[in-house]
Amino acid sequence: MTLPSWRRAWSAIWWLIGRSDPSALDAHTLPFSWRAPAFVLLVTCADLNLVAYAQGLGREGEASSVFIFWLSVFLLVGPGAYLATRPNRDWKERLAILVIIGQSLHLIRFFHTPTRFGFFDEFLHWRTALDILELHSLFAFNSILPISPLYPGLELPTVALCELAGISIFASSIIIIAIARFVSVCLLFLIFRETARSGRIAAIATIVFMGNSSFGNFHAQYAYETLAFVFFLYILRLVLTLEEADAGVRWDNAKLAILATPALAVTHHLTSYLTAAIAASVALLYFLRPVRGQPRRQAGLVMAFAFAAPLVWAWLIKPPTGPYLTPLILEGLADLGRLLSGASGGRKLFVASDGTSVPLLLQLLGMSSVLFVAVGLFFGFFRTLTFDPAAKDAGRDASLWPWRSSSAVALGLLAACYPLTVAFRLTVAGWEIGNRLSSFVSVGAAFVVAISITHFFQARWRGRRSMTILSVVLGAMVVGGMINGWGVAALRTTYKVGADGQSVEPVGLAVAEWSRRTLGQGNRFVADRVNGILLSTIGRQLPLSTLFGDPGFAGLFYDEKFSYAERNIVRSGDVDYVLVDLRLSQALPRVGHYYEPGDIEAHGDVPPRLQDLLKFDRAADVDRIMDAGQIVIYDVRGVRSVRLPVIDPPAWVACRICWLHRSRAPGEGETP
Amino acid sequence: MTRRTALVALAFWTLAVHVAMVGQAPPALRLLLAAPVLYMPGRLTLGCFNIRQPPLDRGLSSLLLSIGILIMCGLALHLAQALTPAGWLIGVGIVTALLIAFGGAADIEPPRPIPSLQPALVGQVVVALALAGTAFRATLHDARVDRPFEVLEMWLVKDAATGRLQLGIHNGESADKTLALEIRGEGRIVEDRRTLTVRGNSTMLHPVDVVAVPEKPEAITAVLYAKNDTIARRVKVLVGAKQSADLDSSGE
Repeated sequence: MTLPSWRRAWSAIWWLIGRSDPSALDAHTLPFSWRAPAFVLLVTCADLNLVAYAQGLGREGEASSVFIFWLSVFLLVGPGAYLATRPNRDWKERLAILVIIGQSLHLIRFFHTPTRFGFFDEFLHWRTALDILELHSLFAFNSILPISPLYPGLELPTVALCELAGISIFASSIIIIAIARFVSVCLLFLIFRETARSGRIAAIATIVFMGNSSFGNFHAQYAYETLAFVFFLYILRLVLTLEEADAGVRWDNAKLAILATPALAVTHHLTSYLTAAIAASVALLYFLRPVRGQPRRQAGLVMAFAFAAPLVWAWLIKPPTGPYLTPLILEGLADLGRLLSGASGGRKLFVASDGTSVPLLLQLLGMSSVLFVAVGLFFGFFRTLTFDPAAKDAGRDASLWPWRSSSAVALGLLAACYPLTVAFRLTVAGWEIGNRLSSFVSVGAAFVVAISITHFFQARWRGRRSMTILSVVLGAMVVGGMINGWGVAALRTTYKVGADGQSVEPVGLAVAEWSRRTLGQGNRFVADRVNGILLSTIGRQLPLSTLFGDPGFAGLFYDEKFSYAERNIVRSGDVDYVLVDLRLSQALPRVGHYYEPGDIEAHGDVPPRLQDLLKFDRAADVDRIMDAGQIVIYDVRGVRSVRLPVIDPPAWVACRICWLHRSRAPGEGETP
Repeated sequence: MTRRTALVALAFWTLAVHVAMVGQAPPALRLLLAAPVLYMPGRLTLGCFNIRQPPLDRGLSSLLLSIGILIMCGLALHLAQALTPAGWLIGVGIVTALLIAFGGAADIEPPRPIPSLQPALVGQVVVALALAGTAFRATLHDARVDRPFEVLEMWLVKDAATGRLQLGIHNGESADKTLALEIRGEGRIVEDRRTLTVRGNSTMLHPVDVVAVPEKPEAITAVLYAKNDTIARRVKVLVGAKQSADLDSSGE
């Protein structure tokens, strides 16, 4: 009897995208040995010298540094990927290698700026940690990221270690982030291994995950999401493993997840909400699966706590999460709508705001990283939904209903969101949403891609050549992911205008230090983005920030005259000092804006002119109190004191002024 | 481990950390002493809740729960207005003692031996660590010598205590600098120093004697000249004019 043609067509399609091969699962047969991890450690440490060499060349502006750097990144991953993904190895051996790879990718961030914090988000949290350390109190005002003090989960353990061990916040942060990195790699591996019951799939999936745009860069930084993401993985693993565990272990897992939820809620708003949503999705799968013995009670309880903890914390502290996140999300969605409808062309990929573009080869690597994941999702999505880790032993066929593994289905559904994050990344306003979500979604995507790879590779391609090809692809995915997330900023260069970490140099640091020593703390400063974070952290000043509702102040720097409009900015913002960085006149900023979002577009896409920046010299009532060559500080309190009809400052300014006067403790040599 | 042994060990640990804190012990020693806070509270919590896990899971849970406990401890210390070094030590000590008291130390066993490293591999690891050391040294050196701009600051501010103007010059470079300084008022030279040497990595503070006349504000300008008489730094302050602070204090 012949099958109808549609059945044959469906069979062919299913063979391509849905049929699982139980022989693809790998059982380790060789005993654990330190040989491979020790070799990877040796290669990694040797390669770190290449990373250091490339960063050194980059600081000198050598063009060859780009090639050497990215080659060294590839070498950090490639050999380890080869050894970790070989068939029949013990899972602990694979995990040891993955931990080395994970830590080495963290060290790239350290080698970028080895003596201090170097990235914008790090400065935001450094300010909060400094406040806790110096004021011995939580919830102090942080003008550069007002929401940060309300989620002190990252800063508290950092400060605890500082206080008890007598080390700096930077040293303490490196330890905390290294622990977070270690735990996250282990948890990822365990999630994948327990879902797939295969160390090899877990190893491949973990390396694929390392190729997401946040792993090499954002999640190696001192930022609250870095730690919160580890709590997310911890709770996710505990929820996913409920299915396979016996009753006693289920309750243990539920208890641990419940214990972790308050810490997560206090660490990061968005991650705690996402964790609650994903816990609810997994619980829903357990509820819907028509099989007896599902861990419904435990999953329901964890879900309830995962929702309750962030809500209770939000009720207690009343964070401005809505005003902070809602515009970002709405604008991102609107931009995505415009992109999909063809109304706008989207973001220029691989090009910084100052026009610097990523070299073509690196662009191709970045795009191929996304392409590999897309291909993996195509071939692996249905295989994941029908994945049955016990198929080989049970001798049963894969089925969509009832699904065999709720954890595999949960990861598959998470992976289904991956295209959405890519679409967001193509937009101007939604780029950050896509970037932030990609690490969460990549947990699922990595698993699906690993299922896809092992389906085609495991059974047939087990030789050295195919293993080499696989490790090259995995290495390229990690390098590509770093390029997508970090771009040219991963490599140190000579000083660049408005380039966050690349713009922080000794003069800016010295000026910020001087402001604290000579002017005292808590003065209201107007400064550009980079000097603003230096003033806030090292200087302990209060730079104006439109993020908190301060009046827009970019207009101060775009006119030759210091006239009524500029004076009104000084008065309405209650400004004490203006910091002018004369280097801003030389180029467009590499990252977004000079002073506040949208300032370049509002002023004709050109840098401020030198005569505009120096206009304060011509104002009789403005003192030029400090000159460091590239940076000048003006005292504008004389302007502020003149009683002219002004627009009344909003209520929050009055509130800040009260805080300011309370917090100002005159220091030695302070000039009030 | 018995409860009593655990409590005695905790008391000794607290004392050791306190002595190291007060005695300003080397950071490496203090870090070594403080390191257990990143593991032990979590480990004791597992025992307290009678949760048994495989070794790797137990290690991961202990690390994360310890961080969670430090977070909660910090919140409690904030409420008690004790977020100080002593507060942290006492807080962590109390929490750990409570966890021990509720049975947290009952299932703590000596760590299991991990698969041994062959001598050849030990050598490999030592070489690897030495290589990592050279990479660290190189990157730290590169970061320290990366100084794209000269650090030379000059300022002129009113001293809060004396009300006099104070000029400051900071040379952030390692080499000494020979400069020329001119301080002038309106139509007059206040001070003229043809040769001024500022030592490397040092700050020079110099009071400027100017009589401020409230009815006649005067702009005082200080200019620092480099070797070829080009202006290196320039600052200016208006004296005699009422500043905001003066206005605030006089109630105008």
